[in-house]
Amino acid sequence: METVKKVTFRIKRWIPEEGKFRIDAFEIPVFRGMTVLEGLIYIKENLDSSLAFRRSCRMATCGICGIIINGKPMLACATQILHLNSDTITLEPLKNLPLVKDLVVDHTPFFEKQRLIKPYIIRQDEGEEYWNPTREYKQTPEEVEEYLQFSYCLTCALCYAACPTSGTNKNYLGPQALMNAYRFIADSRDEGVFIRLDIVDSPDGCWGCHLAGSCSDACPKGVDPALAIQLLRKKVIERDLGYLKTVKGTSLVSPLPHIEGAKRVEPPKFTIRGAKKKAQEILEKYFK
Amino acid sequence: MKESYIRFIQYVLGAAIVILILLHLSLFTSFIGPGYEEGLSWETVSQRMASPFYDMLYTLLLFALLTHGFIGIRNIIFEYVTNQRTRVIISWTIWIVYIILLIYGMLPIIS
Ligand code: SF4
Ligand code: SF4
Ligand code: FES
Repeated sequence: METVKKVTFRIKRWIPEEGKFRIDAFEIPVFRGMTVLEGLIYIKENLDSSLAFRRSCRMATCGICGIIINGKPMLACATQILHLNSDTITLEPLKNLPLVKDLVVDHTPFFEKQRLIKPYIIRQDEGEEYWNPTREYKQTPEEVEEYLQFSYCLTCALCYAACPTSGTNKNYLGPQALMNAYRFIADSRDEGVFIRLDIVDSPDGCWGCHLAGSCSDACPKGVDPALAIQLLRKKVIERDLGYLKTVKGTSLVSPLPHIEGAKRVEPPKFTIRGAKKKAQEILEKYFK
Repeated sequence: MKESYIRFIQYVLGAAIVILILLHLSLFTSFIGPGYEEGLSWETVSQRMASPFYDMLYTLLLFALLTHGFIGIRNIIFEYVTNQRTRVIISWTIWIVYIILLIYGMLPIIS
């Protein structure tokens, strides 16, 4: 591909052995449409094979390639170098997450916080059908609209890295987890609203947000976590004022008629040992 | 107390403070009251101190401002102090100082 110009990548690399950052500069040839991730791959293949960064899908789907590009959290695979209009591009690892090496950070605290808000459908009628589903829950297109934008989240943690509150308060649940709590609360199939409101009603939950909106600004999928947090606060106040009474999720639709030769698609197996038992315990605690 | 109750009180008091401050300013200036200079004269102030309406207005304003301010301070501190035990200690300290200041502020009215 034809080189359009040369661009310098100034990479702020975390050196774990020394416990400090080092800035390295690499000049790379840029072709039209070349992404920052392709620039990093070029460096790794041609200039410095020790450079560490993360990527998987290369199409803004997996959410693992997030880094800070010219001061803003962005997906390296979804950012074209020429669109940055700059001859020098600074790259840094994501903020607010533990550093591992160079541009790689540890996403564990981010996913731990998402896990806390129980990011799955909670049903009171759980039983055989819940664990071994045979049918679907009813949902109208209008009901899907209620949470659709929030379901586009690809857990890239760009919002988390952009959030000033996540920077000062390590216990703050963060924009993604709070947004995800609202995503499930707004889902008409879910019946876990009170469980989740108890979790987010804290100075480290929805009340910790400063409404700066940098999370929404950073999101590559157009999700608006700042809005979701305000909607969460509304739900919490509605609960306190007694507007939110029992919440009944939508019912099951009848199974499809038997089709000759059709095979039932099995749900994925639990990957974490003991997860099913733990989930059952949580449900029993709240509903029994 | 649930965090949401505290935040709800904070919002309601925020709205109340705007109304009370506007009332306070109007009563001092020529908008409703006698004008700024006369409003601050010894006679006017002593007259007002003797009136139950002004007692009520300023008690409410004192309560609203102190409560709103102290909840605000608590929220800011909580952002930097994340340990639960320390938070409880800070909360108690804040509320004790709050009660002392509230009583101190109400002394002229009580006496
Ligand atoms: S709006 Fe709230 S969650 Fe979003 S960046 Fe600001 S403080 Fe963080
Ligand atoms: S809300 Fe947006 S920025 Fe945050 S994790 Fe999801 S996709 Fe990424
Ligand atoms: S590599 Fe998957 S989102 Fe960029």
